[in-house]
Amino acid sequence: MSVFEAGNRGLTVLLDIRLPLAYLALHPAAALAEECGVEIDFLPVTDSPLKPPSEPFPEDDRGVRHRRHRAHAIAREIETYAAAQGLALDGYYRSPDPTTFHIAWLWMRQRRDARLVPFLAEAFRAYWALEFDPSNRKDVEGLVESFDAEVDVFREWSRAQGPARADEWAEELIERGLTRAPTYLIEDEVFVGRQHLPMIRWILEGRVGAGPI
Amino acid sequence: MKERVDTWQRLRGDSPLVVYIDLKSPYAYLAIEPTRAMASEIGIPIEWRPFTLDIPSYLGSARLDEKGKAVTEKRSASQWSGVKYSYMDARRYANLTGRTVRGTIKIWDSSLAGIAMLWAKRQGADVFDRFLDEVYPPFWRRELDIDDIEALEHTLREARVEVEGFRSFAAGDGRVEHDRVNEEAFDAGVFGVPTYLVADEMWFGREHLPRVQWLLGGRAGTPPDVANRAFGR
Repeated sequence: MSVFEAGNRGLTVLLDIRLPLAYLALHPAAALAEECGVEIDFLPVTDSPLKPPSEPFPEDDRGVRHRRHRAHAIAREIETYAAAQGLALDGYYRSPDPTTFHIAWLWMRQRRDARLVPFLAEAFRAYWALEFDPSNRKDVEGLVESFDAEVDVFREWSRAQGPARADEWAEELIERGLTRAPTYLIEDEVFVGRQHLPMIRWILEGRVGAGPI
Repeated sequence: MKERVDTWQRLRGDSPLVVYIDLKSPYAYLAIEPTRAMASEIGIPIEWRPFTLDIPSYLGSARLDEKGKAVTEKRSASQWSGVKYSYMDARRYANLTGRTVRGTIKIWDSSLAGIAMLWAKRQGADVFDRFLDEVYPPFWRRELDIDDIEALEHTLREARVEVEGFRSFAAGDGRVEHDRVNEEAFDAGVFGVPTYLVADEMWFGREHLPRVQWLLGGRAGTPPDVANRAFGR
């Protein structure tokens, strides 16, 4: 069965722990779902890591300069809006392999563990405080253990079924063209970026009144 | 960073809000009404400036036939995926307000339309606003060929813009001014549209309008998050 079908929730959000803008999406999405009284499902996606602005050279063409301007703009956006949420983020440009963490994420989720959101909140916080490496098995098991979530069962699952489950999930996302974070899925619609939250709220509330534009 | 902020402030000049737009960007099209509504709500003028995107330099290039099939292309799969999502996203927001956004079949050189914006702007803010309202809808319905100066002149007339002298402006001073405005903006870090210059900040995308409003309002209250949302209702 598809991971999506196993969820069957009101709002599904795809996040990548390595992307700052995904971290900025986590708490507002959870808050929106709570306000609207709908179930929310969080799932992992592996997006392209953020690229730092390149050093300028006299021979840079317009495309190179364009990408540098964009990279600076994204960094400013992260800094500005993280501060507005009271979040501190360090090391925007790290890109560890997130698969080990994704296995833990899928495990917590398939158990329908109510602690999934606090689990993710702590993982994202620790990652952005440079305290957590999502590619490190010990770090990931330590995180699972800190949530008192039967770490021995997790350890066995993460070595047996976990990798295949994570691979299947990653393939399913690629087949569906879902490769970016944050992505919101609601009523067959796909939204990339938390700027769509007013539209998502409008949909969750039954599309009453004028749309949010 | 301070050097960059100084550059933005110089670029903005005395205008409280400068907005860069390009006719061939559906996101710029979608930004016009909420930007006007936001500015009207707080009672400030907007200085609109053309910024002609050089799309092939960062997003590859392609030409499609009438059925949307690529005839020539220099785009990667991920670039295509991004472009398709962008049009789908723009279309669903446009649909909410009864506007049409049809995918373009080629990457237009919209510099002539940018020069027409500069021409209309010289005749006053109201004239410029009328021109925007006349030029965007038919272009996005694929009813306006912006490579054709006669078609642009017709649109200027429809917007009640004086067209006498436009052709020589387009071939001379207008082209020079357009290129200068574009290069100054790009050198300062403008890379997309809509881009907002406000206070000592620069933002790309209408999702930053809540912050633009917050900055123009004296930074009172909690700084808002990004949001595509309505203003003035």
